Parts: sequence; structure tokens; C-alpha cells
Amino acid sequence: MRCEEVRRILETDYLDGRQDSIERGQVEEHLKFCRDCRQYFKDLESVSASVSSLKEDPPPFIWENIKKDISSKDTFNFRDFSILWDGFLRGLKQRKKAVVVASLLIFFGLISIGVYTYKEMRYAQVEEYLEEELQFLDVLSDDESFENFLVGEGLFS
Amino acid sequence: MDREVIEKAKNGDIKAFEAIYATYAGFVFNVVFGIVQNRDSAEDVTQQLFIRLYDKLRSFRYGARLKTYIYRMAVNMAINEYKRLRRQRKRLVSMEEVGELHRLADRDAIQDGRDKELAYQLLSRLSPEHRTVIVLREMEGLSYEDIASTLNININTVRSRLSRARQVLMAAFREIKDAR
Repeated sequence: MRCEEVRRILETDYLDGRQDSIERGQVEEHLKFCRDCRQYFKDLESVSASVSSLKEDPPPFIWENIKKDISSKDTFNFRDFSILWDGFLRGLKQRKKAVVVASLLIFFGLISIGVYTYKEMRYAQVEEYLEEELQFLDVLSDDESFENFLVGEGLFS
Repeated sequence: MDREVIEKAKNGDIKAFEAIYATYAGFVFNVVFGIVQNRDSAEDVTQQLFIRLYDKLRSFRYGARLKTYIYRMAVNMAINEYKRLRRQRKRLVSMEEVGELHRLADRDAIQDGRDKELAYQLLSRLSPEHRTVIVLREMEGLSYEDIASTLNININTVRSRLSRARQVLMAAFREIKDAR
């Protein structure tokens, strides 16, 4: 294996213990005879250990601040409010669909009302007309009423 | 994390939430500190993350792992804070301060890996993207699979970012050694 190829493996799978035994064997065979790559790996381990040593515990006051904050929210049922608010916001995300559906329902509702109203109006007009015709027929069927009708219309003196 | 503990925390049990905090606070703090390299920011972001988590926990679904959820929040908030501080020019180390690396270098300290300040300054050479994978791998010991899951990238991308990040660290490290 060439040094460049070995170093790429050293920087990743070899340093992080991910290699299978065959590849590991090949790398270690190279390291036996290559001083530069051996030193490279030694330096890699130093840098890795150095970065790992940075790890520390968070200061205790952080939890105290968090506890204070969440306790005060619970006192005022803030969590319940925030749950409702989250639900409201999720609902708002559906608003486009809701607006379209509501608009269609309103539109067809208005159309239906309009059609119904028009029909009712026409029925009333037809009913009124028929009523008048029936009254006129009653007049025609009675001689005295017919005579009075003709006088009233100026057709008979 | 025990499902029963998560369930109790979802219902507002502060003791249960404290158990969640105890499990993940170290990770969050170190990831943020490693990426942002500003202690005040690391403390603030850690606090904000868990306060936000407490509110979000009610709607948490068990299909998603809590660990991955927290890891992602930590990385995203750390990167946002890093960008915010960069705009405010509050980074601990600028390129002009690289010369200080030589003053800090001590052969024994380098080889023992104990010089924390040197380690922070080496990290400062990395972009946020590279710094993130190094912090997750070196400081928190995450596997390549967990890193991939946290950052939503594939394992080969994890591998190539680690390789590149370590090359940069090694170049800075050897610059110091050669200067002596």
C-alpha cells in the first residue's frame, strides 16, 4: 500500500477502530516498515487525545436556571397554553385547504339558497296568476257578476 | 433513555425531565462549546435547548429517537450561535492570533495531549462543518452511524469530513512542532 492511501485510512477507520482484520493487517504491515507513516499516526493519536481532553461537565447553575423557568411556566399552565398554541399553529398550516373548502361550501350554499328562493318566488307568482284566472272564471260563470264586470270595464253601459 | 421516564417528563414531571437533562446535558454543552468556542454561549445555548425541549416533549413521538432529536437540536443551535458570534466578531481566536500557537507549544504538553488551550486553537482552524464532526467523534465518541444520523448525511460523507478535518489539524500541529 502507498503512504497516501495508508494515511487516509489512518485518519479515519484505523484511528476509529472500524477496520476489518484483513485491511488492518495490511496497514500494520506498512507501518512496520514506514517510519514517516508511523510518526504520522503517533501525531494523529496526540491530536485526537488532545481534543478528547476538552470534554467537561456543564456548570450546575444551568440546571437551576432551567428548573426555575419550567417551574414558573407550569404554575401558569404555560405548557397547556403552549400545547394549545402549537395545535392552533398546526391548524393554521392547514388554512389553505380550510379556506378553499369553506369557500366552496359557502359558494354552493349561496347558489342553493338562490335557486330555492327563485323557485319559491316563481311558484308564488304562478299561484297568484292562477288565483286571478279562477276568480275571472267564477265571474264568467255567473250572469249577474259578468254583467257587473262588463259595466266595470266600460264595455256595457 | 427509559420510555417510562420520557412519558413522565412529557406529563410535566420535573424529576423525570431532570433525568433526561443529566443524560444529555454533557453532550449538548460540549458539542456547543466545541463548535462555538465561547463558554457563555455554550451555557446559554444549553439552557435554551432544554427549556425548548421541555415544551416540545409533549408532542414528541416515539418513532423518532429522543437521543437523535437532542443531538440534532444541539448541532443546529450550535451552528446558528457560531454564525451569530462570527457576525459579531467574538471568536476566541482569529487567524492573526495563530502566532500565539508557538508561544503555547510545549513538546511534552503536545505529546501528552494535555494542553487544552492548544487544542481549542487547533479546533479554531476548522470550518464549522469539520469542527462538528471532530467534536462529535473525538469529544463525544459518536460512531460514524450516529454522526451520519445526527447530521443527516451518509457514512462516506462522515468519513471524508473526518479525514479532511484531521488533515487540517495535523497541518497546524506539525507547523508548531517544526517551529521548535
